[in-house]
Amino acid sequence: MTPSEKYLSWLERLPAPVVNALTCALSVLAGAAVAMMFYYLLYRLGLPSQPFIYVAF
Amino acid sequence: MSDDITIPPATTRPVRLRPWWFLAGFAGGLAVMAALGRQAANTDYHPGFTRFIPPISPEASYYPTVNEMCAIVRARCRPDQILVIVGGNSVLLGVWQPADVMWSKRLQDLLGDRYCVVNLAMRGASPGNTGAVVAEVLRREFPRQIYIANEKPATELSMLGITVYRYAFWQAYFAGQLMSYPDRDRQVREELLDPANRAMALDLAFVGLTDRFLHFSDFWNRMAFERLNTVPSLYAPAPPAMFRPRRIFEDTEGDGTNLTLDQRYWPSVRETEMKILRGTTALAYERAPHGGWRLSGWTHFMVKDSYQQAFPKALRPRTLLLIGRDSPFFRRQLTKDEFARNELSIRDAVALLHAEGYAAMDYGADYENEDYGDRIHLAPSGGQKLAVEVAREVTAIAKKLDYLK
Amino acid sequence: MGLVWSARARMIFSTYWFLFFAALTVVVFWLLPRPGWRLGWLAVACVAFHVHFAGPAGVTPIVVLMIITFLAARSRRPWACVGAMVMCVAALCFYKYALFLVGAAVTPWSPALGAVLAKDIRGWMPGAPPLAVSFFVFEFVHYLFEVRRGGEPIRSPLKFLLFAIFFPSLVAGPIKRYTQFLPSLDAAVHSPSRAENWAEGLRRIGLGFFKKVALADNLTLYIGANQQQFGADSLFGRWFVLATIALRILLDFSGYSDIAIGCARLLGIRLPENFNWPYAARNLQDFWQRWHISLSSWIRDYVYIPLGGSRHGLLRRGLNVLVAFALCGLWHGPAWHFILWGVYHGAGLAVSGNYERAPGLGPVVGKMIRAEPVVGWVLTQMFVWVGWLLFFYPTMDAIRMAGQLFGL
Repeated sequence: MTPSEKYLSWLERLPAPVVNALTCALSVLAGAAVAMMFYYLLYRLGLPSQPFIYVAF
Repeated sequence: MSDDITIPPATTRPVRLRPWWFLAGFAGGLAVMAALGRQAANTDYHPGFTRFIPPISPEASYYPTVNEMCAIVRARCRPDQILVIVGGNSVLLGVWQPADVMWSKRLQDLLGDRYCVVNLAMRGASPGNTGAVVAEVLRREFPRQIYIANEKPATELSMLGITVYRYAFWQAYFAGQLMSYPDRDRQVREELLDPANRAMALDLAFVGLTDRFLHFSDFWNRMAFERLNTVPSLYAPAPPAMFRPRRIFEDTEGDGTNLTLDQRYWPSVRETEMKILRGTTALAYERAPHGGWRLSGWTHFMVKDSYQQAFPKALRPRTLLLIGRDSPFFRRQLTKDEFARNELSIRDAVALLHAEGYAAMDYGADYENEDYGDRIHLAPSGGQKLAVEVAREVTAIAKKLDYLK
Repeated sequence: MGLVWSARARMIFSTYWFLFFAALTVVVFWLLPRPGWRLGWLAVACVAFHVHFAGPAGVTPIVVLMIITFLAARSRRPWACVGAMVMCVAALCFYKYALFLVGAAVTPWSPALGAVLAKDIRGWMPGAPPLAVSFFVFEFVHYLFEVRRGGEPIRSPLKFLLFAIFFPSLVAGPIKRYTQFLPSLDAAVHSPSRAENWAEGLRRIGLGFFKKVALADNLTLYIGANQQQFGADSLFGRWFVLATIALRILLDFSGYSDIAIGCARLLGIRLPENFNWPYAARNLQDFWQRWHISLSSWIRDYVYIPLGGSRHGLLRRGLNVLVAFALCGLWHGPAWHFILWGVYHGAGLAVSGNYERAPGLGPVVGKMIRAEPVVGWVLTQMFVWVGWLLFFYPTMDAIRMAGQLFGL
């Protein structure tokens, strides 16, 4: 059995409410992860692509 | 290449995300991050802060936010103290002065507990950058304050400062933290409404307004400083070192005390340095009708105009601008005529600043070669001398502005 | 690095303006109660996007070509469709390749004439090629080709406008097919299913920006710092830098595609996939069915197959592949090293599709690769990754660096 087949068969053996709860929890975590990515994106967009090179004169 | 026109099948996932739960997680995640960002904005997470060394400055793609700098000040200064913010460039940052002997530390020692000195200078910054913005933002919390910066003679004072540090001005501007000043407001509007700046202006407005509520700059700065850095810099260009937090970097500023003459004033650049020294005043000054020199009419007009626009009138009396002399090693190589012009430029700069309501002083008249680490930066001994002179001036300003009552 | 489109995509997608514009467009789109209003709003947003980034000089060419293409297709006359196709291609050649062609074809024979022509061309041209000229010309050519072949033209000017300047895919693809885009647009406008589209769109955009901002941009800085000492580095170090170059372009480009696909999905519109794990490919044919899928399928359908495809014998097939991929390379930028990169892949495809016919060694190698697929994978990826040197660096530098990879 390939790993993904093993995972799928394990998933199928779980009771439906457990799968539901897992899916919901996973969805919330995925949403939070994407939110964190957007939050990081807002920060990175503000940084210039090249750093400032200081030259004393 | 085959002639088959089949399109690859879409990938399928065994677990499908629940859309509303996902969106709830997204909204909740954003709210939590914003709350953490707000907390970061009000926290001083620089416990051993002395100054903005290069790894925690824009040179290393780290942009200290206005909130971050205000938190640094609040953590060190009591409201009953007279706040002294040091801005300006690498000269006042204390290049060639290790942290334990840097001039602003000596200044604090001389002024005593009645004052609180915080060094927010950054390399290459203009008087209007970062430190000036922080001082203005804290004007209500610390009504008794003095802002110190440095400038060159015969040079226009830039309201917004050099581009790389303007982000602090815009942060404060869009957060509504700056005072209203018609001349500056007009300039800012012109800058934002200029069609050539349209894209930049929109971006500034969007980020300013969003950051005000989401505090992402504060959060990720804190993360980069305390836990995990994600932006490469010259100091940590690649993984795994790149991921280490910025707090690991120490203040390793060189000590200019025991440098030889050649180490202070590299032979290969002496000619260039002399050109710079001469050039500072050569274009701005013209022969006076009765001998000697005078500031050219146009330069006088432009410099005076810039002094009038750079700082709000109400803030000028508490703004102390230092006009420094270059190292005597180079000044003594000027001809008598050039030397006279150089000295005149310094006196003129101080006089013009006084005329526009600023506090101003010059320094370096009786400094020696060993007081400098190079043409412009002061070695520890020069920094100590500067601290004494500035302390005198700061006390005089405090007295004049009734801060000592 | 001569990827003008990549630099422009970065300047557009990596701006706060774009984030706010996209958010506003999506929110208003879903709040509008009627399909017609949604269509109109989307059109207004696409026009605003184009005008903002392209400027008046950049908008004019696409407006002119749009009108010509729309009317030509509506007429359903073959000569009109062909004429419009020629005009689109001529516009692309002028804006993007005129200076290159003068430098390649005229200057070597007559430098003075070349200089005069170049000066004249610069006088007529805007400062930069019109925004997304490569993408919209290819989409117009596809549309005209299909209509000429009997496909149904787009009747609604509004829908054609949206096909032409759909903002998520305008700047960096994927290159759309109108027969897929229009039904998706109709479905999105008429039957909203907001939550699923928003969730999937946000997920995709988040993934795209993660690849682009968190990974690719950092790799760019790393490559910039390390490519100077490529020759002085150890053999392992050089291959490591090559791996980061290969990874960077995949993350950069697939990141933009994810952002485009995600933005479209926020509106309920489905764009074609553009990448499918290309570095898992076990042969070059497989690689080109996984890398920039929308471009490779366009080149196949509108260059390779019209040239004859594989229908006229081995030699002609090889030639068709070389020409198709030379044009594919040229599409990426007006420079010889892009053309060479295309020819490199064309030659690779010709060899990988026919090596088993070589007497003696061919069947043996084929048997070995079938027995150990990892061998095919290693050879394919080495070929592709070394090819990136030709893509990113001037030819002589690329050859030198390739030699250094093998200790030469």
